[in-house]
Amino acid sequence: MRNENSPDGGLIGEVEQFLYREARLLDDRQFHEWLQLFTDDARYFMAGRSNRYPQSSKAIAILDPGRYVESDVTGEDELALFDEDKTTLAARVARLDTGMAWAEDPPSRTRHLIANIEVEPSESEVEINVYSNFLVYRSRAETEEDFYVGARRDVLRRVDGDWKIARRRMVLDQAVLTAKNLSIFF
Amino acid sequence: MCDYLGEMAWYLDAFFDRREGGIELIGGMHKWVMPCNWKFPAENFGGDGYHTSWSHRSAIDTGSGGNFRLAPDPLGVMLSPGKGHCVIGVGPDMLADPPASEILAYEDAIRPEMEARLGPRLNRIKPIVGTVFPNFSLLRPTSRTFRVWHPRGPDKTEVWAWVYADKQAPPEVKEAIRLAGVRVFGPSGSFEQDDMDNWQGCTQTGRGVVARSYPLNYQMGLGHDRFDPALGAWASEYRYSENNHRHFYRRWAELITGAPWAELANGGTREDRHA
Repeated sequence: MRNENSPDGGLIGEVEQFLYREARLLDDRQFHEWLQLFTDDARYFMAGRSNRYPQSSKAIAILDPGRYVESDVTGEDELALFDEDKTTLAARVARLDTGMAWAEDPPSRTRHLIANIEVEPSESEVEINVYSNFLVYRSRAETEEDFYVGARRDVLRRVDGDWKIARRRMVLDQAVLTAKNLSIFF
Repeated sequence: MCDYLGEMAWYLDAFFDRREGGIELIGGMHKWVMPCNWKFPAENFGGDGYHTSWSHRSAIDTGSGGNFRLAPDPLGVMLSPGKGHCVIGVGPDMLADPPASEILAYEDAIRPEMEARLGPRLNRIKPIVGTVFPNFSLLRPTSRTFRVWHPRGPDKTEVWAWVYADKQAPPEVKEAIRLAGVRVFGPSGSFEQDDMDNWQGCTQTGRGVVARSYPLNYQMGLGHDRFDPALGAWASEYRYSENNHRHFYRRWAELITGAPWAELANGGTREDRHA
């Protein structure tokens, strides 16, 4: 089904190529080039999730339904997993260049798999909303392995003819993170 | 509770009861699993003042820490208030807060109120990090956090970490603390991610065939500590000392002997009786 608001295949293909190139830059540890993909006013946010009953659950008695928060996703004013602007993202990249960033020394070997890409128009003429899912495999040292799985909602902005990431809001689908750290980018 | 804490209660007040109304939590929490023994993070928060300028140099040099952590601190001490509890204190005029202008201005402004509530000891020492024996740790300078190290076997620890602020702090200070709690500590924190790697390395090394055949060396500052009545704690002579580690592990060793709690409750060591 297709309506006039649906993005055309050309735009979808363009966005896919953008996200795949971004994933390749991360896996190749081209972090300075990756940083260039963000607008100067970018916000980079990753929520965690928690283990919660729905409000309708008969398994629990909610004493004060007005105060019960059903959402299991970390709010934007809460203790997120990442909450960065361009400056702090750049500081994270600079830290990796010091030769003393021990969690990435030796570095993680990552593979970013990006899927379920959806493109929708936004209210701005120069911005689009892009949904995607990620599955990131991390191998480190001899036998350490982690899988990070979640979703992203990006706002891409057309700047001087190129797409840039103006907002990235991610959700990581674990209540208890089973990896020892988040020393890589998503 | 007060019996269990002893003089540590005052040190907890210096984190949690600095202003009328106490503290409140920032919403949400961090939970994650680390491949290390629970005692490594507990002793790290309890007394490892000497890892900072090596383990965290990358974060300090790239702006997320503040250079004050590399400055000399002649008044800094390791403090053991007894029963295995441990605190690291810096000199009263040392900076010990996230390097956000809102937080630094706020700390200056509340100093008189803090002194009125907590008394003259604050002019001797500024507690910045510590461990309530055995597995509850708290931290002031990089983000305001407290956490529980849940043992999940000999080489696995599940962390539950919260970030908090004075209830009366203005919104911009709470927001600066929240951001420090996300960016500097927690699983992605530019400081803490390197800690996790260290603790894993310590755990793996400690289980090695050779390491198991030797006692671990915790002699730093041995014999250079004394009971300081004004601080209510055994205090090291120098900022860098394993005094607290020795108190922590002495208490741990007492408790795993299996002696009845009645004999152990008040601490079996000479230091702890004194305290």
